[in-house]
Amino acid sequence: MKRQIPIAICFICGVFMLVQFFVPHEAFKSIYGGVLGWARVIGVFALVLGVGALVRLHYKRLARRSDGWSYSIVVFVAMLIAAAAGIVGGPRGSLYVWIFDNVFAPLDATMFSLLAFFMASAAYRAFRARTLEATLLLAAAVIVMFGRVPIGNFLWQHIAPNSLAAKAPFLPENITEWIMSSPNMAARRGIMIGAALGAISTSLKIILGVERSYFGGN
Amino acid sequence: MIEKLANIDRRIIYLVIAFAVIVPFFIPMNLPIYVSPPVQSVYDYINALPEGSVVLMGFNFSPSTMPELYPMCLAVLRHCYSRKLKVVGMTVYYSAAPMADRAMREAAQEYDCEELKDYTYLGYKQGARQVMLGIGEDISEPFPTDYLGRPISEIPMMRDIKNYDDIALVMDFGSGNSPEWWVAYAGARYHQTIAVGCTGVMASGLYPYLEAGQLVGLMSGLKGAAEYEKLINKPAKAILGMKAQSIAHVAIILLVLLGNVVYFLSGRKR
Repeated sequence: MKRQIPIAICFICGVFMLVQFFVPHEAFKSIYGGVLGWARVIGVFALVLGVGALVRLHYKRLARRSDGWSYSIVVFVAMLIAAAAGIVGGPRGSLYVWIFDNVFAPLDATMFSLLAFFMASAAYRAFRARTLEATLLLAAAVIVMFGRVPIGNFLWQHIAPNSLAAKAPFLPENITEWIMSSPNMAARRGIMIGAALGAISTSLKIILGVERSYFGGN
Repeated sequence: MIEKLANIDRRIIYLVIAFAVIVPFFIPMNLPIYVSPPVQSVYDYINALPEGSVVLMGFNFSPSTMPELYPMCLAVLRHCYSRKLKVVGMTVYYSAAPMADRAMREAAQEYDCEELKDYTYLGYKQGARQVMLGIGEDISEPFPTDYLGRPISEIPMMRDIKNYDDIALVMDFGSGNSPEWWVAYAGARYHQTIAVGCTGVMASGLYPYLEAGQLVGLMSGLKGAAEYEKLINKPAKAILGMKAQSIAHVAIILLVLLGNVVYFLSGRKR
């Protein structure tokens, strides 16, 4: 029973969601609306669990005086201040907006912007024309990088022979657009269709009770 | 010499990139902006909407991608407000909530648009896919109130908006999976027209949707924003940022070429 009941629930829910997509009846719509509501509620529980896990982790660190325990104090203080600012002042409260603008946004942006430096360094060291495939990739990357910024057109218009540049002033961008909308799209479409077929087959296996790894264990 | 170049200190590369990004802001450059067909399509679609049409905007990005997507949001908002379209904003990214609020109000001020009459911001709601599906049934289910907690039944412009049937276009600004979710849940199920503004690196993954007609248009990265600014004739931060991005791209291309020259001259040892 421990296994059969969850499999039955999974089967009924899976089949219902599949069938309701094709049946626009009021009764189906009503149940579907309820399911969406439940899904949102469960999502909110995940947030509660997340906060709970964070608090537990940092409380343990503080209690055991583990390495870097002082940072846990920062976590608690920041969490309390940000939450209080939002709850008391509302989403347009000056303190809440100040925290977002001057703490959260710069930290988030800084972490992401570091990528540009790491990528440049990695490209210099690792982006090599070692094989034919790597050379093709390299050539496509260089063309797309040129074509995705206006300096590509600018250089083309000033370096290319006049007649060529006059006939096709935006050639770098046009080639880039072609790369994106033809070879890139064809490859992406293949990957997406493959992944979608895989997802459909896995979903069917779960609905029919063939795939049971969500129970945990082996 | 080759050995030195092969083992170049990474901090030198960091410095080159830093200069490539910072210096262009102080140099006057007039770079030709070419409007690509996917951006032109977004513009044309919005431009053809009758006055009073509703555009639902999803602001689904975090501050990390703000330099690319925020100028894009402002450009599209300016276009919508200037065309007297009704704009409803929302987000499924908690970290986008204050940014989206600011973008909507910042652009609205330029066109004397009134909150709750010309535009409404519904704020953040957890559960992206359920929210997108929920809007298809009744927008007041996932969003019973707006960003400040006002019931949407009391908001004048929301009285005529029940679900996707009343929305002319969903315009998503996304830095994650939100564009694909809109296509799958609002487009496939409710036949909603969708356009997307995304980060530069995401664009390649969205071309299949564009070519299949599941997206009416696509703006990618700061370049997409610059193109839109050109179309609405309001040059702003995106066009300004093109200089820095251009020189940074050139710097990276030169670094890659130099790296390959060093690789071949050193006998392909690395």
